[in-house]
Amino acid sequence: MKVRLRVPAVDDPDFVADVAHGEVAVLRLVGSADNATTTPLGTLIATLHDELIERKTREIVVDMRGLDFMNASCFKQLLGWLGRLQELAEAERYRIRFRVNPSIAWQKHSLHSLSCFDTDLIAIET
Amino acid sequence: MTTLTLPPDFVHQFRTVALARIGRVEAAWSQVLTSLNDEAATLIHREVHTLKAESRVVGFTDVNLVCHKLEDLLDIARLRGYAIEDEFDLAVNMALRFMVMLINKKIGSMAGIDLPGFVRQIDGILKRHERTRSRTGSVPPALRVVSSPRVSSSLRDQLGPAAVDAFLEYAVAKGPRRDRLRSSWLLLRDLLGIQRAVISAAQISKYQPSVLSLARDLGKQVELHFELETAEVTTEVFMALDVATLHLVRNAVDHGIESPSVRTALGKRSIGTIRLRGGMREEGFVLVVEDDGRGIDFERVRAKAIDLGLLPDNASVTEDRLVDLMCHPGFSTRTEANEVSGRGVGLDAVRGSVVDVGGSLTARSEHAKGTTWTVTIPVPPLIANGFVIRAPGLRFPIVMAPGWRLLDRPKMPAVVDLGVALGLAPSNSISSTIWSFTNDEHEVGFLCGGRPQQVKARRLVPTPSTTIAEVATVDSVEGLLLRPERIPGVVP
Repeated sequence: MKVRLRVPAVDDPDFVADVAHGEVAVLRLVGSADNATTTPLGTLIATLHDELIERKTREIVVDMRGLDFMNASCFKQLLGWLGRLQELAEAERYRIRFRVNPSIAWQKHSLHSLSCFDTDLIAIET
Repeated sequence: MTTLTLPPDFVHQFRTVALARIGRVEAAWSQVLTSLNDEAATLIHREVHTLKAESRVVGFTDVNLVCHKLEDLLDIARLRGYAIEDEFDLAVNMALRFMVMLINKKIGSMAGIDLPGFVRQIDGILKRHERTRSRTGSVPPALRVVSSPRVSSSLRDQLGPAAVDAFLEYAVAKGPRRDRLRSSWLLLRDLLGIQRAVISAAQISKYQPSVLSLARDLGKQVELHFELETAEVTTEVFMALDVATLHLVRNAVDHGIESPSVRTALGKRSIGTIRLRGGMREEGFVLVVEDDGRGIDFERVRAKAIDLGLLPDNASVTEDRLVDLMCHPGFSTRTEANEVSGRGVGLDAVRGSVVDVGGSLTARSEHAKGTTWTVTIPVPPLIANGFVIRAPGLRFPIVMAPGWRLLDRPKMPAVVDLGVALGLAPSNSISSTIWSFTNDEHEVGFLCGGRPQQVKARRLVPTPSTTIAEVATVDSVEGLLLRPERIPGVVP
């Protein structure tokens, strides 16, 4: 079954975030996420989270392979996302699979740290 | 580390306090990065160090471990003047969030949490920044004392009279208006009111299991004696005493008490003694923490202070001054930080929390005999003894401020209608009696229903002594503590 989500995209000159529909939903993050992106990214994640719960989705892929840079305040949006996910009842939770670019050092370090918060909910794939 | 079984209330209290600490650290961390704020920097190091100690006490060893790693990160950040890369900022934020998760999780449940993996990630960051680490570098910039009460004392002084007005309006109102005014009054009461806590030997002895556990970890033997008198204090004073106890006792175990073999060689009992005593005295609450350990090596303190540039070479200084330097942020005679000490934060945290509430910290030490730390914190009077009256038309008790006594044989005092004096409607009672009071300088009469009785009023929302009244309770009923000398016309 294909997943269709009503999530507004972020389209900034330096940063794009959108949700692609396929067998599983894919949140694609491309470019450079800095302070200007924090709020729209946070809004997108909050909407996406609500949609995923409503549609009882079991998994989402976050494709970061095209993301060159993400500052701490944007990354904290991911931390907040995970926090909200952990607050859900077990049956409502979904997994987040991060697709990272192994040649980008910050992605490797930060995402591995993030996965330590909950190895049941977070997976990293290269 | 030994697993401790603690009362659920204690663990609940730890969780609440720990989450509040982390909230303050997160806010201060943002401030430090955006505007290199010394006060915020001090707060961060103090709060994290205290959280580390507290987490050890309650047996949250995972939080303790992350705190330790976080302190390593913070040390590097401080040495770099907080000019750090994004990766570093993120690591600090993640460590704080990781601790929130650990604090909130059910005890014993680590499902899905990869603590070793997270620690490895921090170690990786620390390793990448190892070059900038140094334990013998200069001390951080002089850090001022951080004041962190709920409401500053000056704001409390300004808002106190407004709280009295809110109480009076509520107290005389009727119907739906009364309900609405009650909400306003309660809001101000919660914001400005004195929050009380009871400090006692039983309360402080909560640290015993963790201190004994720490001693075991360090290969030492310690006896703890708690000889504190029970006293009611404000929560601000209580928190300061709690922080002081925690750090001073841990310091005594770590720095003061020698290993059993050393003690035996010195002709001492192999078991060291740490004694906590104190109680309410004229100058406030006095807490004394004394140990029979090695004492402070003042020569070493002096040398370290010179090394850090805090004293000129060949400086001649008093022991008091050296104690003062020991409490300087970042001061430690240790060359390496371990899980217990060596970062020079513990004594700074003690002094900071004590000074924040107007107190002082002193030490006396004798070589090979031991060290005595004395914490003195003034405690505002929480109880007021006075005569309570029932004024006609007013449905709440009014207590005369201490110093005002009932006159059996009055002269011809000016009679005050309290309704008018308080800005309310005049009383229309014809069935009241005039009772007179004096403070030995002035005399004033009030219309009262029944003979005034002597009571203990509990101060609720303090106001400056220049105002006419403050809100207090008598037998749990809210009323006013009145300062008759502030009523217009009483003092010519």
